[in-house]
Amino acid sequence: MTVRQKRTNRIAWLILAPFIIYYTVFSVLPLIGTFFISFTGWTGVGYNFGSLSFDNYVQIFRDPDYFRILLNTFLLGAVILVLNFGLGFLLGYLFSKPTKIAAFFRTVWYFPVVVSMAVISLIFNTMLNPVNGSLNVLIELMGGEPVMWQQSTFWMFFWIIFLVVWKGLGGVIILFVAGFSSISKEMLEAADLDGATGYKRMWYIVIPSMKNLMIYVIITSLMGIFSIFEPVMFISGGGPRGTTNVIMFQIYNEAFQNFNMGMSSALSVLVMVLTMGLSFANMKMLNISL
Amino acid sequence: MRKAVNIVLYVIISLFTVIMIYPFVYAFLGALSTPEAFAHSGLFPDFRAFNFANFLEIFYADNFVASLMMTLGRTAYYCIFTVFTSVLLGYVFAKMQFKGKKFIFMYFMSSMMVPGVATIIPTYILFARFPLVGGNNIIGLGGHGFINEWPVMFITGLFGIFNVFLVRQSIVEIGDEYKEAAEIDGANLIQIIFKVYLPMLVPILTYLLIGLVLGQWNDYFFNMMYAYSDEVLKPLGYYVTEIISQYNSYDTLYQNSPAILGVAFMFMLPPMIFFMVFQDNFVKNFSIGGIKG
Repeated sequence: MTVRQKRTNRIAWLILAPFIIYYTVFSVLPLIGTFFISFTGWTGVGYNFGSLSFDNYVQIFRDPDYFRILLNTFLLGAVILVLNFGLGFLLGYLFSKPTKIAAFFRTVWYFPVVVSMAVISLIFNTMLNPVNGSLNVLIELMGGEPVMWQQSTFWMFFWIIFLVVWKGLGGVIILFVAGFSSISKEMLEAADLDGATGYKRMWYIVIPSMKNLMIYVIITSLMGIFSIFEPVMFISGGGPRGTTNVIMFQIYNEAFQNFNMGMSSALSVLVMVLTMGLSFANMKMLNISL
Repeated sequence: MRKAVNIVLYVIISLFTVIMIYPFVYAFLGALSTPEAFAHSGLFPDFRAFNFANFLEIFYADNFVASLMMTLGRTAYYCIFTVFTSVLLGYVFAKMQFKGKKFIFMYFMSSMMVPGVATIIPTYILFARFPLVGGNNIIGLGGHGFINEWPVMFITGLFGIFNVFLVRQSIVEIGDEYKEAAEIDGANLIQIIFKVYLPMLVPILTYLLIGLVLGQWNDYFFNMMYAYSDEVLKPLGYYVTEIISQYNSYDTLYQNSPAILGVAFMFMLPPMIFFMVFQDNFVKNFSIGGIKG
């Protein structure tokens, strides 16, 4: 090893050292701790951990209340994924045209992305007010019975899905617009000459050249379902009777309402395990390496 | 035929666009209303009262100015740290060859495998049990640690490995000529990184900072989890929900919806203007792993 190389080694590690310490303390240690706590019934007070057991994990899968939460999360996630992907693809295609009106639509559809989810949830709350919210007023004008939104499982599901898709679709559209615009004109013209039009062109040229982008959208949408929180917190409160409770909301409630850090940690570890494959695939696909 | 299809398509899209902007229009018109008029309005709130006072409600909130300062200060703080750490580490991982580089990169990267949701409780426990802070003793017992202490708002997320990676990719593309030329001119490492390379990284840094500024403005979750007590000065992203909750009433008839909507609308306005100004920078002009975006 040359003197110069030795010096570079020393400088590099000197720069990295504080970051390694910081990262270890703030990112790695807590995760190791959580993994340990998930096997206990720790209340967060003192260091009385009791005995280690798989009780929390067993309860998640045995107790119908907890199982319901997992089911809710996946159900919401599945619908949101389909809507995000389907609408994002379709509208991304339509908005990728180099016209002024398409640019206008792109701008308007992106507005929801830049505003606060908490505040938008509060606005939806006033819209869904059973007495003077605009939706019930409209229903009454059309001669219908006002709906008690907050007391209907279906409608709470509907509005949470609506809100999450409304909030996120602009971002997906922008990705697809970029995807559609990056398909080379030459390839499409060549396809035209060969007589490939309509769905054939879509299936053999457009979709294969956007494969990575589509996988990326699917993975990020799937990972996003675990972070649904504000709409549940502000609009449904997990109700009626826990039917719209999702995993993130339960992690929060477990820690701060039930003071059961053990269960809260177990749910966190579960999310970690469930998304690990996804994040790994994402990293591989984004080609994150030196 | 094709033209007819296009027209139908645009009509459908326009209808959906109306749904997209409806909550904003609803908030704007509702804010112009009065509680009495609001209770009797239709799909669009009765705005004939032109009650512009509701738009000013947010400025009359007790801690508005301090809270806004907190948001701006915190945003500036994180902007500076993000630029500094991602350029510094980006350069180290792009241009310096040293032993253990791959290993340490993977060590940092492993945090990307863990979704944010899974780190919330671990981070809470770390803060609450942090030794020698907030009344805690050396083993982290006896007090509340960082929870509800203002410094908690400035200690997490000082560097993000994905940001480092994005900047690193840009530095790799720049090439070694500048580094070599600067070395011949006698520039030291710090000068090379921040005087030679930093100015060339403006596009990627702009992209990172736009996301950061918006994230800071809208951030609600962090304070809800770690700094929520009345004694702590909270950034606007959280404080605005406290302002709104003052007008909320469990008796749905008597909640002051126009005031809620006025506060909400004023809070949403800055990020929307920000977006329109920086619109072109929202789409990345680079590609990672074949994903152009």
